[in-house]
Order: sequence, then structure tokens, then C-alpha cells
Amino acid sequence: MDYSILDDADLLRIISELGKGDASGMKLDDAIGELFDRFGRLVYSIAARMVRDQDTAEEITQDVFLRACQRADSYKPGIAGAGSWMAGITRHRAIDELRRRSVRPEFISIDWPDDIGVDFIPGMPAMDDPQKSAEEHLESRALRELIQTLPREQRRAIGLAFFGAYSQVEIAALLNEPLGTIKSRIRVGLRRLRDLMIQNEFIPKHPPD
Amino acid sequence: MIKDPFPEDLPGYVLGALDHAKNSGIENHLAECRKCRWELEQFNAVVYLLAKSMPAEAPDAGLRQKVIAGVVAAAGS
Repeated sequence: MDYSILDDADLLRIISELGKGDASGMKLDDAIGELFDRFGRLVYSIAARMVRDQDTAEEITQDVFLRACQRADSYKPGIAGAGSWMAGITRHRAIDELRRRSVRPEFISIDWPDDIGVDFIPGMPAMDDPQKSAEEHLESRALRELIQTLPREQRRAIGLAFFGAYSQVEIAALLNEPLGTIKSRIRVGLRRLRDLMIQNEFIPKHPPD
Repeated sequence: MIKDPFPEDLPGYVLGALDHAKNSGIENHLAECRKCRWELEQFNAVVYLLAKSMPAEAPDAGLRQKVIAGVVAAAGS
């Protein structure tokens, strides 16, 4: 079967069925391969940005795909689809990993690449993935432009939560700011991003009927 | 109308940046509140788009096969 013709929801449904039944044949291999071709880079990139080492990022990627396949029957298509679902599983797994560590990166923001530098993972390419399609490049750039319009303090607070797995309490301590200030930066910043993304039609304003 | 106690915390919740005690309160609320579930879905999309905004890293060529082997082994056991 050609799995590439399936949409994400159907692919995950079939993976769920294959995983429960006869998993010895080539079918499950092919279906997982297709899922990896769609989301492998995304999952690995998020993991790599968060944990900042290649081996752990690979380990997390393997774990995320295993979890996704085991939970494929719980997937419900939302507005951002399976990519968002996979990204969520990845972030949870990487947050667990980072919170076990005694030392975490402190200089993180969500703007690329000037604030953070792209060469912080030894041995990893500093360039954006050349396999990305032109469309993906344009999308990333448009999103980066929206993010850049946020005040620097908001980007920093969101970045520490997003990539550093810091809680709001930890961010307040790290930046030596009142907790209320950090909560407000995260709340206002994320709402502002949501509104900008709605305005620019990255996400819908109203729920589907 | 009862005042909705949680929308202020949803952005922190979506980022995984709240303490655990608060998480369960929000999850109970979300089970009952359609409006907040929609907001949650929007914020989840924001977080996903944040991830998509970053320069992607190309994984090592061997990772695809490791992922497949891991899932197949777990399904067979």
C-alpha cells in the first residue's frame, strides 16, 4: 500500500490498527517510515533545540515515535493537525528530560537566529535544513517576522518556558523579576502571538461548526 | 454567569510552565468549558507554529531506521 496518499489522521489510524494486530510484516515498517518522513525532522528539531545534544535528541525522537504509535488511536485532528500533536508529545518528553538535569541553558529566546545563535549544538549544521521546501522556508520566515514584533522581554520569557522547560516560578527566579511580571509577559506575549497568527491566517479565529 | 477562573493561566499551561497543582485544576475546568477548550486549541497551534518558525535540523540518516525498528520491536513484544 502507498501510505503517502493518506492524510495524517488516516495514517495514524492505520498505524494504530497495525500495531495491535499483525505487526510482524512490512506494513507497519512502511507506515512508520511514512510517519517519520512527515514529522521526523520536526520532532528531532524540537528535541535538539531543547536538549542541545544530538544523542539525546535522537533518543527522544525514537521515544516520541514509539509513544505516538502506541497512542495513535487517541489522536483527534485539531486546527493544527498531527504536526501539533507530535510536537506536543516531543515537548513533554523533552521537558521531562530537561527537568531531570541540574543545569539548564539560560540564554534562550524564541527569535532566530540572531538572539540565540544556531551553532550551539556541537557537530550540528548551523544552516537551516536544506531539504525544507521553499514553502516551508517562507512560512518559517513569516512566522519569525511576527515573533520579532514582540517585546524582547516577552520573547525571552516565552523562550525560557518553551525551550528551556523552565516553569514561571523558575523564570522569575532566574531573571530576578516578580512572578507576576513573568506570568504577565508569558500571557500577554502568547496572546499577542495568537492574535497576530489569526490576523495572518495561520490559525482560525473561530472554531469550525 | 460564573466567572471563568482559568483563562489567565492557559498560556502558561500550554507551555508546561505552571506548577502541577494548577494543571489539574485547569484540566478539570477544560473538561467542562468549550470556550476554554477552543482557546487551548488555538494556543496549542501557537506553540506548534513557534516550533515551526525555527530553523529545522536534519536528523542523522540512520535515525529513520532506528525509529522504525523501535516501534516494530515494541509492537511485536
